[in-house]
Amino acid sequence: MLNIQHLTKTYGDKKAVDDLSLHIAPGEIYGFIGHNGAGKTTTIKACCGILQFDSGEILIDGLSIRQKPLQCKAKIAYIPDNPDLYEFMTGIRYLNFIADIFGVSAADRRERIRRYADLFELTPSLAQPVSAYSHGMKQKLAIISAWLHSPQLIIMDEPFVGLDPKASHLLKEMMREVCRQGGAIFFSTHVLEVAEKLCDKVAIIKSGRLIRSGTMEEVRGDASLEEVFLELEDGNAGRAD
Amino acid sequence: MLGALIKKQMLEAFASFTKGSKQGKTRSPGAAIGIGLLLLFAYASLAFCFAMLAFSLCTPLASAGLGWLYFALMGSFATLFGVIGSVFTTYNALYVAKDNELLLSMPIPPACLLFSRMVGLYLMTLLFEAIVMVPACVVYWIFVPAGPAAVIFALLTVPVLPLLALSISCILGWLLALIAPYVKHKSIVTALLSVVFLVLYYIVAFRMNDLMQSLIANSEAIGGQFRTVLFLFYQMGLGAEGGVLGFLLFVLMTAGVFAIVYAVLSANFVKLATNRRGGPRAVYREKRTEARPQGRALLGKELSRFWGSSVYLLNSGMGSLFLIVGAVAALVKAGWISENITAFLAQSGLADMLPLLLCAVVCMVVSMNIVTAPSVSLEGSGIWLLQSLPVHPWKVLCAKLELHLLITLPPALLCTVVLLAVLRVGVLGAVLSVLTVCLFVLFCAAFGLVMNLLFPNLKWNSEAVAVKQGMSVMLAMFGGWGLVLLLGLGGYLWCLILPAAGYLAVCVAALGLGGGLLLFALHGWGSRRFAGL
Repeated sequence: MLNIQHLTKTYGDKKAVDDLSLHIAPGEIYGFIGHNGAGKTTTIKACCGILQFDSGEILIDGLSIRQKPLQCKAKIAYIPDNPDLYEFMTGIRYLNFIADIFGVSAADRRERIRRYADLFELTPSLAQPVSAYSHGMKQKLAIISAWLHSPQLIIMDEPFVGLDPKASHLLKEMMREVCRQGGAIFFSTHVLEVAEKLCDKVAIIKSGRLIRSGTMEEVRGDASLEEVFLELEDGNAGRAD
Repeated sequence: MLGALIKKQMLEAFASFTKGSKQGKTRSPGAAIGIGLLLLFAYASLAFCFAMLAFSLCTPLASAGLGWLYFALMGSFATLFGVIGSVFTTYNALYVAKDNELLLSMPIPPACLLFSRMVGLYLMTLLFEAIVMVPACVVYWIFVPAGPAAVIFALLTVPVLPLLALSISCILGWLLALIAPYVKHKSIVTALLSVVFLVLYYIVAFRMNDLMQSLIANSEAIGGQFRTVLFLFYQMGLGAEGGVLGFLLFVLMTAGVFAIVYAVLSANFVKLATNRRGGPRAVYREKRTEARPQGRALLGKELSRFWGSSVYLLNSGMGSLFLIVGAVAALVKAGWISENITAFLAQSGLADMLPLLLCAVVCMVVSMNIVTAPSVSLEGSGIWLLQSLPVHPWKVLCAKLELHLLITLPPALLCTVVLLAVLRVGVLGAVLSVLTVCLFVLFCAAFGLVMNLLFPNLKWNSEAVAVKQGMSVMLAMFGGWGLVLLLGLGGYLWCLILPAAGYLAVCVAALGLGGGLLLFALHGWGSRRFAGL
């Protein structure tokens, strides 16, 4: 579903991402962890076609994000770390705008907005302007808009930040549901307990380089993910398959 | 702490002039000099207008021994100009700045934060008032012998007077902040209030000759009013003529007013800056919706932003209002316009130039609409949305162009057609005029967008920064005016030797070609640039 091959991105002299390769298959929830400034957001933005990269290739369902950006973007949904949405729109207007861009039919969008907005208890607030929303409400709106067009791949940057426990639980259920239906999830997080419980595979990035990846069992072995992560962060870079 | 806060304010205010792109690269010296020259040109043009006003008032009043009234009147104009120019910026900068809550969460006394914001506002108000007061002083010194005390006090009046306008703007901004949470359609109400301000201003400007005559004829009576009702300006006038007591009283009163306003605002700043209460919140009721194609959805988004932001609406779309008012005025005064303009051009031997003159007037007003110039900057930190959605950047740019055309073209055409009918322009001239205006609107739209793609400012705390302070906005506005002047001058020279209709045909071809080239650039380079911002 998502194939990152030898991705390299530099900002001036600094290599933000250095020869990173990852493969996320359909049905997988793939966690992406690393310290602040490790290159997670840069990688994610490159996967979404927001950021141009220096070398390497990113394929989404076999299509190059460089050569076929619109086709790729039509297959994915992206939720950034900070939900800067259109504050001059009401919640419902924003959702309809996103649905229009993705070409979601009136009947489908009505059904999906009703379902997800009810789940996140956002329905009554949809008539209010986004500027009046709290951070958590904006995050919920971003999640609903991401699920509106039934994407095959959902890419999220710190999706649990700002969500209340119930909404976090709901999001995890929705992520699993996407995978059950053959989709894939690629998301970054600092909450290692969530990654450990939720992810099928995990990748650890440090200073732009992939230092370990694989199934959860392969990465953590007998230790906890936190222990492995801290050990790797201390400088003992291990294998990356 | 105060120094750091003031530095932050200055950095924010001048960021779009000194920093180039999203990456925050510093502009080249050439670009900085260009911006400086453009600013100087704008400033000098306005100062010249006020110098003319000062010139018409100075001699009659000074020769009647009412020099103080001259300064009092100019001081009143300067204060009015300063208030009109700064009231909405004051509201945005003091009460609804995005970083208010962040800064209030820090160990910064609210009074200190308020003061740092007021320093920036004071400088802005000073710039506005100096446009009036500096020419007023210079004109006075040219025509009336002034002693050293008069010169010193008059010069000192210039930096003191803005404190009064700033105090008034702060109070008006405070009132806005108090009522804003309870107003449903904020942008429309703000726009209406601004239009009322502007209408008052233009009524005064249009009737300036009558007012001048009336002022000079009734100077004694008006002077009496100033002595009692506008006591502060009376003392200011006395001070500017060299009166020590008058000057000291003026400084004391102005500083006193400012100190009171500052003290009251300091005591209430936290409450005002964090006032988020409102009326009952709207509850969503599901309605029938229709799927729209991408282009319409993007245009709808642009329209929502335009109508939802009073700052955007007022600063970028005011030309449309003037075009409609112009069309109505032309209809009402059809006989007068037809008779006088036709006669004037006939007397000057420039009857052929009528369609060209008409186009120049309409295009000058059209160039006041700078809808596309801040449109990319307004995406701000939310630009990731359009970049991550499956929509070609060209479509996004097209929606921005369409918004400009939608806001500008209908009133421009209305005004053109009405003027063509009133002035009874022939068919060929009328067709060429309509084409010229249409292509000029298109050119301005494309030019503004190119400017904003070249000079985007995606990092702002207040929309006003993107809409009012961007270099792209300034370049688009001056570019439009410059083009009109160029076309007008070219037309005048052309008409000395060749028929005017030929020149309009050249204009149509040139604007068509120029607009086409800009659109071509936007389709290729512009799309890539937008995607990479």
